[in-house]
Amino acid sequence: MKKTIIDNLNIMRSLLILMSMITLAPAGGISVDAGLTPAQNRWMVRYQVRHIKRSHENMNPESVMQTDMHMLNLAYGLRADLTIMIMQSWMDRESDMMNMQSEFSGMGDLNLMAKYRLYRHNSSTNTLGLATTLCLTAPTGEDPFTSDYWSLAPGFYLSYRLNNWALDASTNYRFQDLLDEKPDGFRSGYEFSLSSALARQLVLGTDGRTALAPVLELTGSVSRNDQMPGQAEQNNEVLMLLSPGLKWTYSSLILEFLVQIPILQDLPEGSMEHSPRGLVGMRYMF
Amino acid sequence: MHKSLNMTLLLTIIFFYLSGCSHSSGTVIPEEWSGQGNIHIYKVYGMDCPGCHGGVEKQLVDLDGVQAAHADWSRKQVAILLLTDREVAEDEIRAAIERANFTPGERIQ
Repeated sequence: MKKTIIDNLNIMRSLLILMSMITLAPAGGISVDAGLTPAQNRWMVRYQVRHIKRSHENMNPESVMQTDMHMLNLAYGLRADLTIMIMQSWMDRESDMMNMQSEFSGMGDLNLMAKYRLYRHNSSTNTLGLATTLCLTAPTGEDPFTSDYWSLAPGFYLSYRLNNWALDASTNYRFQDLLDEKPDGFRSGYEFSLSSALARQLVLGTDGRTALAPVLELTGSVSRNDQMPGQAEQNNEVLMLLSPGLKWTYSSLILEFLVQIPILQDLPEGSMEHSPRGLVGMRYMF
Repeated sequence: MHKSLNMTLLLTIIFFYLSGCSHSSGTVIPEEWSGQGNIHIYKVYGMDCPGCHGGVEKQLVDLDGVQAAHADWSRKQVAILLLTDREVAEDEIRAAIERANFTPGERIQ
């Protein structure tokens, strides 16, 4: 197991170097929320379904937890350089733990986001841009899908376009338990993520209204749950996903499909392993 | 885990294979505009997919005196159909393109 993790780390390192050599930015992303701010007064509606499966394969009987996450996102270009967004999720979870089946459905937490364009340069062959974001998560979800605390996640997006190639990168850090009073000895959890997406637009037809883009994403996160006083020390969870996908665009409509393959997972003891995930989405801009 | 890695490698190769070349030909002026004379065409930089069209077209159509606009990201151009006997200041057109987060280039028609 340890050797597999080291092998995977070497592969990841090579891929990261390769991707950083190709470019620095995102904007062709599917799970990577890439790209800069849209036009002033423009709306975007985005709906995504993610299928997430985690399991204890080595346990007998096997324990499995499957979650379908439905996400609805509404964004508006308040100004050319400022976008506001609201995101609400709805979850449907089935679990089978040691032959005990259970099902839960309910709303997730509400996310309010703002994206501000810091820099954008367009030329005849390439576009380079940088934006900063702030995401506030309110604990409005239902049990067991709420985090039970307010959190704030500042982040950055870097976007680079070279001819029909798109490269995007994003990073953010989530501060948890912003407003709650914490007992002595409490250690707040956190989440740090770094993502990149490489895409290539292929023009379909002659009117320029349709395009197909193969997308390859690499995402990684390091997170740790809150640790209550007296609780055993929590280890970090490290997860890296390599995700090939396709994005089909017709005018203002985008359909997207992605498979997220875990290539590295270093989990706290007793945690369920991540299986490959599926993502299907639709975006409409008006 | 190795199976996943092999599948990932295969999909990566397919990704780069699919990433062949793309092309554009013809004109940015839509067929339905034929016979109408008051058309301007500008170069526009920064559009990277068909989803960008709506943003710049919306900003241009909102200008007083513009009847319709048609963008083409692959040609990096936008065609603007003005109302008969109307003119729109070039500064206004350029500002509208910038509100869509793109950079106006030279006027080519």
